[in-house]
Amino acid sequence: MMGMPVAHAVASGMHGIRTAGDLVVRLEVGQGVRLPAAKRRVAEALGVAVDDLSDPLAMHEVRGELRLGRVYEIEAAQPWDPGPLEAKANIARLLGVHVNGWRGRGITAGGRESGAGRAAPWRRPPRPVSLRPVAQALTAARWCGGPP
Amino acid sequence: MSGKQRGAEPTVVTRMGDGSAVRMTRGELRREIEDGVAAAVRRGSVPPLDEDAQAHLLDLFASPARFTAVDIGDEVVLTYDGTGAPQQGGRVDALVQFEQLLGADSCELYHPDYVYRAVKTVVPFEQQAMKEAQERVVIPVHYGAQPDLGRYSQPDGPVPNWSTLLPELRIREARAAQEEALAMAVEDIVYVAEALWEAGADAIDLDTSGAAGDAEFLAALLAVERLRAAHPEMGIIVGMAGEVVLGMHGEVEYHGRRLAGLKPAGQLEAVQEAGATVFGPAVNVDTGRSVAWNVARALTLLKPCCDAARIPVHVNVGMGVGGVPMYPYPPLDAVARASRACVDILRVDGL
Repeated sequence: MMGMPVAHAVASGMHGIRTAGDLVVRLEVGQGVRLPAAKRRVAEALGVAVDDLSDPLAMHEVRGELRLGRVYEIEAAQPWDPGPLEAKANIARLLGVHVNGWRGRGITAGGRESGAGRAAPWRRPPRPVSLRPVAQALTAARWCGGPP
Repeated sequence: MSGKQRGAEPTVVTRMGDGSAVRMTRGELRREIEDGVAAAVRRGSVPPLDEDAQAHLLDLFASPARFTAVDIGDEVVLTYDGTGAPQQGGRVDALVQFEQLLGADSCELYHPDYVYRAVKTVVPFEQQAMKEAQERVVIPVHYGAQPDLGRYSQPDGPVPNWSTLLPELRIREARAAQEEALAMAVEDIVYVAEALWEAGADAIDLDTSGAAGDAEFLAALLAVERLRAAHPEMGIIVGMAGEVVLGMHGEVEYHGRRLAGLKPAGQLEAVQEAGATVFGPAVNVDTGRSVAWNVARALTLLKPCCDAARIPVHVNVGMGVGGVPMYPYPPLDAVARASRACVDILRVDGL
């Protein structure tokens, strides 16, 4: 843990919801946007400078105002902060991106399921297995004394 | 380790590719970096790192500091091939800890048997875990596993084992077996990915692609192509297994491009064409050379790929790749230097 995730996070990482790292990931991984453009888009959406995106003090305030989810510290409780699903809904609206963990599961802003009738391709029945190679082998074995 | 002085030159502690500590002078480190760059030029037919980049690498490795980090403002985002350790409790608890305590920009739910074929048999359990993770975590939660074509070969799988056929020079049968296996792998990857996307995964990670060679890489590309066509909004990460795609089949092509022998720049083009949103190149570590040599070699091999990319590049800097020592508990000093070097010199989008 110290050798890999901690070392990389401290040496190079943006630090997730302590700052705006998770929002940049939403654009990079979700939409294939490269880092400089992703940082610019997030900064514009938040109304801050690009340099502020990695500043935990600036971003703690901004995330609190926009209800985007924050780190919880025992000395500074935020019981009024949104839960993860509400935070994701706010992030989706703010960045104009598809946040699958919220929208992909068919939850509407009103909290009702809207998944009825949605395609669920993974539920497709398995394709029928062709028995032709087996039948051919059996036929060949019967007439020729073995498979060709 | 020998003494702190070698002749007139002081030495600093640095690392070998297996993680062991070694003392080198600044002059020795300079030669290691030059050798690493030259090795990459020979291996990959790529241009050498420029003098400024090599000088910066030398400064990083000749520093006696225990830790180093990128300049303020130059931070990048991190993605993972599996997030969480057994000491952290449940799998989803670990994701919450990564978000709340470890500053992770994203996290990845994974099954300990990190292979799509294995996960297929427990998909409902993975979906339920993903649902819970999405309800507890704000940062993006990805789902990852490996294509691992070897799992489809006998005695573990149904297909004749090409690793036993090839030494017997039964080339045609070995190729047919790999083709049969790759068709099965595509179906399994698509099945699992769609199930986890349905459960709320923010992206799907095809990790260590091409570990079993060119046929496995083709399986990953075909799966990505199908997933992209069916789910335009799906995030898809393709991480590679190595710096060269092994030609276990030798003849498979993707869009007219022979996959055997592809290096990072060629791998990137194939992954982009398939429709992935993030490319994760990997350059393997030589444990018998220093970390400085390995980092210089990795950066030289990866530079053309990072410069040409249209999609984000998240370089693999885990155990045994990207210059990070091949050791389960890599030293912070080596990891920090590899991490910073990638950001400073390659201008990567993430790690």
